[in-house]
Order: sequence, then C-alpha cells, then structure tokens
Amino acid sequence: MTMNLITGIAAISIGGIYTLMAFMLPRSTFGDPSRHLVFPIIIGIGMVALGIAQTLLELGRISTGKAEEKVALPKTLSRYGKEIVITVIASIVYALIFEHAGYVISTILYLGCILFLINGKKGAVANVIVAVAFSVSVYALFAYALGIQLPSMPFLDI
Amino acid sequence: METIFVNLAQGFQVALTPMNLFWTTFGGVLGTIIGMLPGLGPATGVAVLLPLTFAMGPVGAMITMAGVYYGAMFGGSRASILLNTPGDGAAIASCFDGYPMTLNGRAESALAISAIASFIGGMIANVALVFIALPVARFSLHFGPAEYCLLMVFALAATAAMSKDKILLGFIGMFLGLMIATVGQDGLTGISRFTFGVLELQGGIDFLIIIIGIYALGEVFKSFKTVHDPNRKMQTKFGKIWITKEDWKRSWPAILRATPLGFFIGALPGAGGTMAALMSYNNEKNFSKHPEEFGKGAIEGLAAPEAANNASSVGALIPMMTLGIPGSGTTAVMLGALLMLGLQPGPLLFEQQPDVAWGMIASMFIGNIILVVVNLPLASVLVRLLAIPGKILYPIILGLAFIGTYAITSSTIDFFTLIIFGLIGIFMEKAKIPSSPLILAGIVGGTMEQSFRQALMISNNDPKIFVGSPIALVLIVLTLVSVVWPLAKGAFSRKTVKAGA
Repeated sequence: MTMNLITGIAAISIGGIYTLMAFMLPRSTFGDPSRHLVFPIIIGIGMVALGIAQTLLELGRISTGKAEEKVALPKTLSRYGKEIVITVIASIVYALIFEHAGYVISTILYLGCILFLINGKKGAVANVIVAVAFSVSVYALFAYALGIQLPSMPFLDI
Repeated sequence: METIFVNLAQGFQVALTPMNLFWTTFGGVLGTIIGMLPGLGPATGVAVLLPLTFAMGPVGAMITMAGVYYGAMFGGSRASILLNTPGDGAAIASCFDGYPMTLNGRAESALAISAIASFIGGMIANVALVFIALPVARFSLHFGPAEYCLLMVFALAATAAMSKDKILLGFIGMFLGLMIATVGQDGLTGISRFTFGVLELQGGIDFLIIIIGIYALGEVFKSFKTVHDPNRKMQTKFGKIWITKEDWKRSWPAILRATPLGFFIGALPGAGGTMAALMSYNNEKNFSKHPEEFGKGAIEGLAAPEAANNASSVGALIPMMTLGIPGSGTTAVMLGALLMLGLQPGPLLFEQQPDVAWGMIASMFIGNIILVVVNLPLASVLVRLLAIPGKILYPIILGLAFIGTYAITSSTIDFFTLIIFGLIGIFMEKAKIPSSPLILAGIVGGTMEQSFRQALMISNNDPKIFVGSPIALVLIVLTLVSVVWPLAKGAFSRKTVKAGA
C-alpha cells in the first residue's frame, strides 16, 4: 500500500467516524435543536469526499504504474525509529513524574536521557552540564523572573 | 492621512520606551539566531517563546514576536550563504547564489548584501504597512458574519491550495484542523462535542499545544534523521563585511523590484516567505542582463530573495492584524498568542488597542535598524552559533516545548497532547501533508463556525446570506480562483511537458 492510499483511507475513516459522531450528538434543548451539528457534519462529509478523491486518484496512479513506492513496515527499527520511540517513552515518563519529582529533577533526568541518546556517551560531560544548566536556569527564569510557578523539588521548597 | 501620522507618532512613543526597546532588540536578535539555525524557523521560534510572553504584557509580547519573525528573515540566510543549508524555508533561494559567492571567496559581500537587502526590504514594507493597515481594517468593518465566514474559507482554501501538486493533501490537513477545532464544549449550547467523555477535553484542544507539538516536537523528531551527519566545515574568519560600489550598483534595482513583490505575496493567505523569495529570484533572473551568472554567485540573485522574504514577513502581518486571519504559520502562532493575552486581532484592534497595533508597527522600524547594526558588524560573531551541534540543540528545544506547554495550561495532561501532535507531525511529513493548513484551520475553525452559525441565525437558516452581498460574492470568486488556478496551472504545465517530450 502506498502512503497516498493510506492517507486516503485514513481520511475516509476519520471523516466517516466524525460524521457519525456528529449525527449522534445530543440535540439542544433550546433554540434550534441541531444548529451545533451543521458545521461538523459539513466538515465530516468534506473529509470523506476528500478521502475518496485521494483514494481514487491513487488507485488510478497505481494501475498506470505512476504511484510512489509502497510502504512496508520494517522488520527492525532503524536508528531514527529507535530514537523516536525512546524519546516518546522518555517524554511519557517525564509527563508522569513531572509534578511528583519537581521540575528541576524531572527535567535533568529527561534531558539527560535524550542527550545521552542523541549525543552519546562520548559527550557525557557536555550532556550533564547542558541538562543541569538548562533545568536550573529555566526554573530560575520562570519561578523568579516571570513569576510562573513550576513544580518544586520534593522535601525542598525550591 | 493625518490620523496615520498621529497614530504612528504615538506608536513610536510606545516603542521607544526602554523596556520596549529591549524587547525589540531581544526579539530581533533571538529571531536572527533561530532563523540562522538549520531546521528552526520563525514559527518554532515564536512557539517556544510563548511562555515568556506571559510576563511581557500585550505590547511587549507583540513587539518581541514580530522581532522574532523579521529577525528570522535576517538570520535565515546566514546558513544558506556559509553552509548551503537554509536556516528556514524562506532562505532556500539565498543558497542559489549566496553559497557560490562564499565558494568564490566573497562571503563578506554575501553576508553584507543579505543584511542590507533585508533592511531595505523591511523598511519599505513597513512604510507600506503603515499606509495600508488602517484602510484595510476600516474596510473590514463592513464585514458581517457571512462575509467573515467566507473570508476564513478563502484564507484556508488559499493556504491549502498553495500546496503545489499536493492540493488534496493540503485540504485533508485543513479539514483535520477544522475537526480539531470543534472538539470541546459548544459555546452556545453547552453540549460536549467529540470529547469521548474525557473531562480535560471539555475546554477543547489548545491550539497553542498543537502548534508547539507540530512545529517544535515534530521538527525535533524529523531532525533525528540528520542529526548524526558529521558537521560540515564552515568559514569562521572574515574580512570587512561590506560591499563594493559595483555590488551595490547591481543589487539596488533588484532590491527595489523584489520588495513590492515580496510584500504583496506575504499579504496573501498561505503564500509565505519561501514563495516570495523563490518568485523574486526567478523574476530577477528573467530581468537580468547576465542570467548565465545566476547560480554561480550573482549578487543580485542573493539581494532579491533577501529583500523579498523580509518584505513578505511584514506583508503577512496585514491579514493577521487587520482581519484577524493569519496568513502564515508564524502569524497563526502570533494570533494565538494575542488571543491568549486577551486581545482580539481584527479591525477593532486599531481602534481599541492602538498602543499594541501602532506600537508594534513602530517597533518594526526600530528593529530593522537594530538588526542591520547587529547583522553587519557582528555577523562574524553571530555565525559562530552555527557551530552548535544539533545533538545538543534539539534536546534543548524538546525541553523548551514541554516547559512552554506547562506554562500555558499548568497541567501535565497536555504533555500527552503535545507528544501525540509531535507524532502526528511526523506522520504528516511522511504523508506529505502540509502543516500550515492544519494549524490555520485549528486556529480560525472556532471563529469560522461561530460566524457561520451567526449568519444562519440572522438569516433564519437561509443559506442565501452567503451570496447576499457584493463582498461575499467577491470572496467566493477569490476562493474558487485560489483553488482552480493552481490546478489549471498544474494541468497546463503537465501538458506543456508532454508536448515538449
């Protein structure tokens, strides 16, 4: 399957589900009962129409041999793929610990993790310096200069 | 006319306060640095700057964000000239002759003419903005809800249709953005729409998070592909950064031709600095007596796109400030920030908040002078920043994206929204779906629906209201032309290629 075909099918699916959900929205008890449905229904139907057009055009390209290369799921993740997966996991963990561990500690851990992932062990000193300097300076800037409260360190009210 | 000068004088009073002078310099220099760094454009710069704008107040925030925007146009060409890698899209055309000039041992002249052309382009465009903004804002007071809705349809359609041969994908991105805009509690009926019962979605998906997710996180994810490439060597020692008389003689007509073109293209929804720069480059090549020198280090080939992209960044502010319609990714982020600060861009901005509107316009004159000073004598110092490895820079941008999100919502739930939109950014890049239509639709979608419903309410559900005035008809024609024209042009060029073959 080509990327254009995947996009077309995804547009039909998203548009279809969205339109159905729009039809199923509760009616308003005052004023026009269904005016809040009109705009979403137009958008949903528009998306389905675009998806159909995209799919048909791509099928036409495939039949004439003018389509782009097919997309296949790789058996193993490339370095690029691995880095994205690890960054996403680290970001999720960051979101989970952010308020509990406080801004400074959670950010040092998060940035440290990403820096070691991208910059490698060879740049360990630079990684640690950047992670600590960034976290502490941003915390100081927000908490003291801008007056925006960030989660403070546990047990220490800073 | 007198009103304009009075307003501008008041604007200068606002812009010349020490604090606002600081924000002008800060925004401009930050923009220059961000624009210089490959992969980071003004939209990303403004997006990561958002949390800082909380502490600035509306005038300071607008002055700083505008500074980042035109500052990035100044800085974007540095990497194009020295590394053959454009700092942002608008600086692509600066590679064509800028880098060959460096290879020919003329990096100093290239750096100088890019700053001079940017300065002149920016200044002339500022003068045009002063005279055009108020009449456009006053004219738009004649717009009713139906006209406003159609204006937004035109802006979105034009942006989606600008996606060259991927028009359908542009429209898919636009509709996705409109869908996102409908998530949350309906303001008029209080009914929850598309929230899947998630309490946090009741207030809708904050479009600033979408912007940071797609522009900042998405860009970082994309950069992982190239971040391990060994850094290319760059010239770091320079002589006097200036141009010769002969250079100036060849450049000034190009600058004067490119500026109005860039300004006009910038003011069109969807057509940004990239298109302005590329069109002015081609234009200059056609005008030139020595077209064979283009691509080999012709100085006018660098001067024209540099003047055009600066002028376009000023032109892009017209629809944002006067109509409340963002014409580009960066102005979309600026519009979002304005809304966040409690301001309503549009025709009434000039009436109700003249200090913000005219203060920002006046600051752009001052900012241009500051930036030409920064970019000429200090160019050799600034370009050393290009040596910062991406391996260090991109993790820092990740950190800024998360802190920006937390500053906006004070909730870590939106970290997940941010991650999701970062991943959507990668998918969109893979599927070649342009991001601007999605972002623009996400921002104007809510207002567009509101205008749509108001129009129907006024007309008692009669859709004829959408064709009921000359302005509405003109907007419909413009929308159709903006969609049909690129399609017809594409079909014509394919036919020509076939005939040629």
